[in-house]
Amino acid sequence: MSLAKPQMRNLLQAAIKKNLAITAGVTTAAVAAYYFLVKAPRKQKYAEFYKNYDAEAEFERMRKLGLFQACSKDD
Amino acid sequence: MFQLASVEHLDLNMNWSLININIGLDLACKLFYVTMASFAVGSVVRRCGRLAGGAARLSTSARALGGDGMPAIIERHGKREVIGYGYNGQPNYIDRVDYPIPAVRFKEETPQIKALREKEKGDWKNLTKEEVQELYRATFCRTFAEIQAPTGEWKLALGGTLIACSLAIWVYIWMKLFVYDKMPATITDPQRVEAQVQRMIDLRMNPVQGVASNWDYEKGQWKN
Repeated sequence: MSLAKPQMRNLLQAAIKKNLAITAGVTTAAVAAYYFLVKAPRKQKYAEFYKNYDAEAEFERMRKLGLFQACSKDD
Repeated sequence: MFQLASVEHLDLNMNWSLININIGLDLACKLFYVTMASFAVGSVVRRCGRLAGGAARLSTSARALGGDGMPAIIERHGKREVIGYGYNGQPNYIDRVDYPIPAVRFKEETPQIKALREKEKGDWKNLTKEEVQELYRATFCRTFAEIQAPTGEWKLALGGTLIACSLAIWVYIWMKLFVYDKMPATITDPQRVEAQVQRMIDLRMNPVQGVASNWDYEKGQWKN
């Protein structure tokens, strides 16, 4: 027999350490992917939208179209 | 079969994907079902028989113990030698990775094995490879490699699951055809939907990532 001696002790601990390392890696990758692919672009889009957003002008536009129940569309 | 809404040319140039989905769903489900059925049938046919092992029943002699109304305990290990406690205290044999030494030996004692056991008490270097393997197989049914070998059971599980999914989709199709009412006019009527979308655009609903974000307010048309 010329096989290497297998690991005899602390098998559960070794397995737990390996699983913890894999968990840490996978969760980090998942969170990083979500951040860079979802969160950051969304934040960017909101920033761009509100950079030059004039709420009063939008309100007047909608009012003149008659879309509000509480405000009349006449001046 | 399906109630197709009249699709007129619309100023808003919308895409009536809902109707196309209904027709495509039928074809897609037929293809899906055929592929999944063939996959599962193939995996079932290909599956090998169960490996020998587990609770082996080499000996047919059994003794029933008990009395005074107590339940009879039938010991089926026959003439096989008890070598330990076993994973639950019963004199059984089972291949378990987490409890490697069963309660009884796998095979009954033969004169050859008895001789080998005597030889085993001496120096192990005197044992040949075949003798070591014979001693092992007398006590154990499978090696660890054989116990942990893949069984291919996942193919059956996956195939059965996918068949069940495709059956569920067929049931949905039946429901859509024979049970559900027609969709209301507020959804199917093109003029009503056009008016609703126009209102969404006017009110700037979901302007960042939703409906109104796809409308170009300067040019008065959809963005591309």
